[in-house]
Amino acid sequence: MIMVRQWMIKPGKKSLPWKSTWIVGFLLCLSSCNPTQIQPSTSRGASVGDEGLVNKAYVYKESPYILGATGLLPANVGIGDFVDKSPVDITSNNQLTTNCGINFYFYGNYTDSSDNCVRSFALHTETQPLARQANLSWVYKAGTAEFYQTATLYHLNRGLTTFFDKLAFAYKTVQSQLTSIPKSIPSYLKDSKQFWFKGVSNLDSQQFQNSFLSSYALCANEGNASFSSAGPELCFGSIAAQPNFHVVQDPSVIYHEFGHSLVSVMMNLRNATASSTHPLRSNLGKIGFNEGSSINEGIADYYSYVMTHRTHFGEWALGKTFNQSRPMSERDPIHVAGLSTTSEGRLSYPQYILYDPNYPTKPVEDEHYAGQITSHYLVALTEALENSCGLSSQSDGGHGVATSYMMLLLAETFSELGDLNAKGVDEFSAPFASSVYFNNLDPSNSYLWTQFMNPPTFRRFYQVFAKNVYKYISSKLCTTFTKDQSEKLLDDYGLLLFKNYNNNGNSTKSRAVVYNTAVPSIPIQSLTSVSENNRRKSVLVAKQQLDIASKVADSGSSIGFYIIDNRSDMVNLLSNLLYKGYPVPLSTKVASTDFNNGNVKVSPGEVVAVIPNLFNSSNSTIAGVHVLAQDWDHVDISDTSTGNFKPCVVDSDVTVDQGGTTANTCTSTETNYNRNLKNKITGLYPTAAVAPVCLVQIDDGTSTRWVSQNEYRKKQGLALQDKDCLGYSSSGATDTDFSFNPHEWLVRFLPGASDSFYSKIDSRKTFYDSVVSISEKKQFNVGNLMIMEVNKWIPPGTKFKCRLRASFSNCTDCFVDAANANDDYQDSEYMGSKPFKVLNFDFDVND
Amino acid sequence: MIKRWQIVILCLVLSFGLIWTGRTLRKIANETDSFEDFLPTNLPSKTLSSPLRKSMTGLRVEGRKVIGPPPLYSAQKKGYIVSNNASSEWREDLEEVLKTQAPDLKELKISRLDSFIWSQGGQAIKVESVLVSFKNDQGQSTKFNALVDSQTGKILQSWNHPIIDSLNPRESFGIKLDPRYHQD
Repeated sequence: MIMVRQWMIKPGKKSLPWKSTWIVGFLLCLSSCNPTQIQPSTSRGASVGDEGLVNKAYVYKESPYILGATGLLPANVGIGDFVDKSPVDITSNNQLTTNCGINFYFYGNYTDSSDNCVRSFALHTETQPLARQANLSWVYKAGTAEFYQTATLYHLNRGLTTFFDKLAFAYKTVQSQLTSIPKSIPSYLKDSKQFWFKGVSNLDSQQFQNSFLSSYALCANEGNASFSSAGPELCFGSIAAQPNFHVVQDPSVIYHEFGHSLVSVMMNLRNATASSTHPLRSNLGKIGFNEGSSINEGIADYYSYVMTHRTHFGEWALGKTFNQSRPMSERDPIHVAGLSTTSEGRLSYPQYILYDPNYPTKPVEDEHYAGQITSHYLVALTEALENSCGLSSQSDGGHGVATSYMMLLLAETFSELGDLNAKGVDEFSAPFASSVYFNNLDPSNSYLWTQFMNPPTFRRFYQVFAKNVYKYISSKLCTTFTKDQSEKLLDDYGLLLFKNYNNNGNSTKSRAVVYNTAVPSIPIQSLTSVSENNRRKSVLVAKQQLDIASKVADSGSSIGFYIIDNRSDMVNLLSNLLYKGYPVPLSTKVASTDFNNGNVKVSPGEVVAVIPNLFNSSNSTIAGVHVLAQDWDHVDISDTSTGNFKPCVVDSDVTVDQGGTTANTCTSTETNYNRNLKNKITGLYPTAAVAPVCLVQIDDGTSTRWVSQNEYRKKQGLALQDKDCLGYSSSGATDTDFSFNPHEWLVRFLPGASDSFYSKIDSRKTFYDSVVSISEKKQFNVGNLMIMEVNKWIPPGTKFKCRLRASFSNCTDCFVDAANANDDYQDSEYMGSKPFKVLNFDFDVND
Repeated sequence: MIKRWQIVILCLVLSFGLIWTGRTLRKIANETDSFEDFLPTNLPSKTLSSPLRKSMTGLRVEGRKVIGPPPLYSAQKKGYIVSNNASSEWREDLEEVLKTQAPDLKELKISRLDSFIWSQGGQAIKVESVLVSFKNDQGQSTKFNALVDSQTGKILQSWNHPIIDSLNPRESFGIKLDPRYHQD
């Protein structure tokens, strides 16, 4: 244990060298010109010329808990007691910032750097980083704002240096491969500068407000820490009731939040060249529970392991405040009996997806706890590499090299998953020229694909990750760690959720177009299958076993869909969504929470949350359910002057007699994602397009049919103009809203809340019984909700059918095409029904 | 008084500068730009007046760069067809939409980061790429990015949502089911 009181530190004094006085004077002038800087309240600075403290400070290297004060309560902490007695380097910059520097090996060594790429502040109100003191040191009295922002920069700088070392290793390893090997990390990373947050993308455009990461050590936020890629910025809060406590006192939390920023960087490695930048950025995860966020949280925990070499996270900031620290190894004594590092004892998916080791009898659906499966797997793989690759004899037990291997795998995986330019691979040193795509459909729709249509889930992430283990570890860096070992370890965690590595390089729209078509140096690739002998714990279930409860349950009281239309709940929900960065643009004037009547039914004018009551009829657990209410290819447009359509027959719910069709565009899935909108020039709608999910029933005297909402408006003689429709933006009396879709004018799922996630559904149970009813608070997670708005002009009694689509991570037939030798579906096929189970949400609108 | 030899040197320097600039432009123009996949082969010469313009910004229509496939070109109108018109009211409209969703938000600030033409799914519209920041009713700040219609302020896409890690994840926001659903 290393503890030293700050007052005991007495820096040696030396006489002032006259040669330096002009520098000091100049710096003083500079600092006096800065009106926003914080003046240190009590500076314990070194004298000018004390080389021992120039650019240095005294900081805490670990949290009070790790430094031995395991019984200390956060409210009583005196952080000065935990400051290390040896000064550490902070920065040689004149302000409290650090620089980014990375070496790229690409047929020679090239270095790139960016000054002041991380800036450390105390409060959100500050705009200029703290200036270096006159004595050139960063030594401040413990507990002051200057002290905390200095200590935070120390830890961020450690995290940054480690990341760039490992990214340089990843880049060199990947680019050293033969040109015949498809790679994701782009060779032009140095020129694109996507190894960090690149603020200015062109002469006249910006990606971010800033090209640097801002850190706020004493954020005003209560009881949390955050990363915002929009800043980009890190924010470390406090707890008002415990005034001596600050989140930054726990470096493992600094590394965790910094880990989120690294995920953001790695997800966007491919999204720019030297001269162009995709206008959007890839993100991993959404609001509330979902598997993308769980992976993100697990990797953020893992980055604290990379930095601290400890398999436990947040002992002080989470553990001593709310008893919420998290382990990363089955060896941790916090775990329940039965968990161990044996194959049988691993923290496996989906069995432990609701597991909080602090309260093991109180399951909770939360992305942080679900993320433990990822953090435990990554630590187990790191240890396996240390042992299998002969690294354990190194002075650090092989931690440094093994974690470099791991960051290579993560960077290569995220680079592929987050690829918005959609090309997937490159020519020798630049993107290839032809307009074919291998990732996320195409550049125009790639954001939709990475976030909604085929987002990173436990299945998708680990399929790409395992491919990279096979490609870079088992086939190159450490051939003694075999493909079988890799698959067995994944299976120990229940994560062997795929049948092949999807590595044959098909394009997103045609199986006939492969990598070789675009990049001749890459030969035709063959599909690598998973060895089925390695699948022992990872159970796959057919999609037909998932359905809506009311259709399969014996009880007549089963509810197919839950409706939440309580006004206060909906107002709070909408507010919460926006605070978490999710705008849900409501249609003004024709729908509002003011209409909500709380009768748990769908009524005109309401804004309601919809939760499908999912039922699992199989004998195994279904996990990672994703329900989509996005437009999809399920109609045949019968009239291009109106865009009216007939619904395709995709199940027994809509037959030909009920207005469905099996003809024309229903015989295949579109390859281009076009919405059913009127063309300004021709005045016509497209002949083929994706359509909103909700159909309406029309009775024309002789039969009842399911039709488009626009057809209903015209045929029912409703004298409603576009401005009375949902989704029509009413700015300007004469202007037209060209993104308005008249086929969702009566009911629509709101953008930003049009998909939902469900952690698991136990065998022969509903989601409610599997998760909600056994949780402590018996409430739905925000991630479980979709939000729908209802036009106030709907005639009472009108019947609707919304065709939602669902898939789940341990689905045996949601992702592979049996008609194509179990190869994965092409990206374009996610526009249709084949990868999904269609869930029909039927309801009447009544007062 | 400028001497003759000074004029000669000046001319030499200018000539060298022009040659260097031309080479640089050609070099930049030869760089591959992924979004230029969408550039039509029969662009009107006026649209791309210089190699530098092409390389750095791609196709431009009405002063805005085009992101995505090229909009439809009207030979009759001698121009590309963009569906909407930019309005100075988009910002106010966006503010109204956000305040409708969360009436309690404070210190709302909308910063424009970029303006361009977003061509997607057969439609080309003028859009603004913005950074939205504000505080909630408890004074906690947040921010995200959004793409909005330059005419109506309608949000077309949002991204870069913050990741907010509570020290107590068990206390996250949720909604209870109405007890009427499980009376039996």
